[in-house]
Amino acid sequence: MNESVVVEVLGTTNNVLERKKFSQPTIEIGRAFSNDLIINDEHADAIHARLEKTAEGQWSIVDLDSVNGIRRAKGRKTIDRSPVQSGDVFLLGRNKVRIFFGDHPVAPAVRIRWVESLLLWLGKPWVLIAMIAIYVGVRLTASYFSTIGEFKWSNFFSQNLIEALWFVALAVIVYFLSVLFRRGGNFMSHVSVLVAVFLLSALIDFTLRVALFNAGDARYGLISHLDAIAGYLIIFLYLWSVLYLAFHFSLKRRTIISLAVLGFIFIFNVLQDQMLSGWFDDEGFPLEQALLPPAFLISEPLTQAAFEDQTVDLFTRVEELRVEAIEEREQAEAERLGDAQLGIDSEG
Amino acid sequence: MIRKYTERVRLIGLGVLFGVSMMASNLALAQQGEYSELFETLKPGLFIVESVERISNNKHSVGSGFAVVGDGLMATNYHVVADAVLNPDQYALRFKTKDGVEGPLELVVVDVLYDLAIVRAHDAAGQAARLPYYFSLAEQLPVAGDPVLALGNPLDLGLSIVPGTHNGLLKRQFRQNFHFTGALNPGMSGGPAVNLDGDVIGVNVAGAGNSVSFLVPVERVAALIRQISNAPDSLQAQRVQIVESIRAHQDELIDDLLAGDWTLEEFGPLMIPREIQPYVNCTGNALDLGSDTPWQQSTSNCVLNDRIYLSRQLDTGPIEMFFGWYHSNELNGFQFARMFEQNQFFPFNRTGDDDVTDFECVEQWLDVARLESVPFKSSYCVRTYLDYPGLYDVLFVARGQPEDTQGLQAHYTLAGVGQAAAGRFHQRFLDAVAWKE
Repeated sequence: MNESVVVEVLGTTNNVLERKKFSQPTIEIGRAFSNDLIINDEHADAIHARLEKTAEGQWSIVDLDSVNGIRRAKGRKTIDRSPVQSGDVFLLGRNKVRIFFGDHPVAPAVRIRWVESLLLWLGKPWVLIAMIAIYVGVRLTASYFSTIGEFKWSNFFSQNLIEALWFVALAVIVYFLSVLFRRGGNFMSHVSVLVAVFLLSALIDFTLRVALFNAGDARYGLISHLDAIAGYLIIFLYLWSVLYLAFHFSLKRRTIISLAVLGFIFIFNVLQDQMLSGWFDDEGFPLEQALLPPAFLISEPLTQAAFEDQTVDLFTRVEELRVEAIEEREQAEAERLGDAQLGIDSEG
Repeated sequence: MIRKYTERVRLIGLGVLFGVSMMASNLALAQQGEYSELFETLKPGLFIVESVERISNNKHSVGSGFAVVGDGLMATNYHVVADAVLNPDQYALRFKTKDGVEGPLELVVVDVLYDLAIVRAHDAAGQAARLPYYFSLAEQLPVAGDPVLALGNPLDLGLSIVPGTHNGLLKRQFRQNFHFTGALNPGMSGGPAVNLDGDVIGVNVAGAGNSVSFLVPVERVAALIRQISNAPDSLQAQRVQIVESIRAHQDELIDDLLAGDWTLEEFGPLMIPREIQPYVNCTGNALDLGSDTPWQQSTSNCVLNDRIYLSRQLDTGPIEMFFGWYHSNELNGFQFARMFEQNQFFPFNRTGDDDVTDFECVEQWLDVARLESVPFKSSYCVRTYLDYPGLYDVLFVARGQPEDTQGLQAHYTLAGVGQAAAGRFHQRFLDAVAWKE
């Protein structure tokens, strides 16, 4: 029935270290060179185990009186002889071995998505060089435009060196992690992705700046939300790409992990805002006063009358604030008096 | 009993006079005899006014006061008694003579605009105190150059006399004070300034250092005395009246400004108003920033720094009008915009944490009718006073760029004005600016 059998040697994270296919009815496994499958581990016996096919075509695993025995992957008990189902994992000493029959079904092929091929394309040396060149160019332009006064290269380097070092450090860390998990890092792709994500974020920032420049105060809330969303989107994109490049997680898994990390960052930010809000009460003017060269202005200015109409509401709004503040103050005063009263009572 | 009281005051007064004459100028030394006689006469009408923390019974602030009319009425500065107006649960007022005779004071009527208050002294029986001497108010105002003697309790050292010179009305004020050349120190606030006949010509109000000091003209005291008959009957009513008087006064001020001389003067590519009234003080103009700064700027800053004291940490009233013209041949458009947006603006008056609300603002692109073809990013911010309803601080700033590396900033600040007055000023301000022909 099962004409052939496949035996895989697995690593610590169930990664396949070796895969062999056999068509004979008995397969011997052990450290000795006479075996069909040789396991290079001191915890394995010279001839440790045998897989054999019965007359009915049923496969069994047999312990050949080994020192450390055979166990199922999720079991404590050692096995002398056990029937084998396709996909079973056994521990021989400390080695994981998985057995598949030749007719074991496999998942349909995953089509290579354009994003994934893009991520791999980013790893090409000339793409990487181009990306870095663009990055330096963008950084230079931004630095030049924001310098009022003499542009100094030394300032440029000192301002950007730390960011560049962060990029390299991050890439190296992820590379080592991926090597540690025996996936083989995609170093160049990763650096490229970092730079690409940075450029995207710079582009979004500039777009939002143009929006802010054009907008009136009614839109400031929306733009600030978009800014926050863009920040999270950038982090998501980066995590999602890294999880593909360095760890080869499935689409579903890396999406879930990215979202989880994002959720964690979000909660952290919200908590931090809440904790800080008590400290920095004085928010000053709720204004942006963001300027750009006049050519970027595409929105239509208000007439004097329309502008004045909007200012009328301000007087109503501060009147509401006044009433609120007075209520708060009276409440605080009442609490203070209440506390004082309590103090006297408890002393009495 | 009254006689004994006056004798003791006199005794202390002599000691004080000795101290002052040691420190006084040559002029004062030469005329010592003359002043000492006058001082002896006036001293019984002179008092220390303290606001006292009710629980600890410690003095919180110290000023001076002087008896003006019968029924134990004294004049002093509003800022000397303000604590007791704002926090009557926490602070009480009392008067004191240097020999330790003291009694409670009751607030009668105030004029926050000229920083004046009339209080009534009570004796131990709770009746209006019979004060030993009442100052008379001068009928004839002094002329510049006349000698003036300021009386009070400088730095709480004791009742003192300070000779100086009258220098006329201050031109740079809407509510004009006398300019007094003589050293007024803290604690002398609320004390009288008299001519050589001993008649009050003004009330000590502030010193600007280096013997430049200010007196509230006596006619304001006379006007306040006339209001005693219809004085507010509670502190609550007192506070309502304070707000009303400020609003009415600020309305009057704004209207006076609007009716001023709005003749336009050249400013960069613009025509702008400058000293619209004599009490508006304009400074600035071309500012040379030196060769290190890659842009040029000219500014015009017109200020009416005439503040109304409301409390220790709160004042109101100042008005500011600012124009800035910036241009550069060295910066590019982005650099210029970055420089231009860093020009921030701030409220002008002094406020504590719980005196005012936060600012609420509108920020929009605005087409100013007389400055067409250049849109202005304009911010308009308003806040109000928690305890002075109907008064607002208004800030406006507009930034426009005729060219990539040219910037025009127009800005004004109003403090403690009503909504309608703020609207009228805004309109006039925008209508006043025009491009140069």
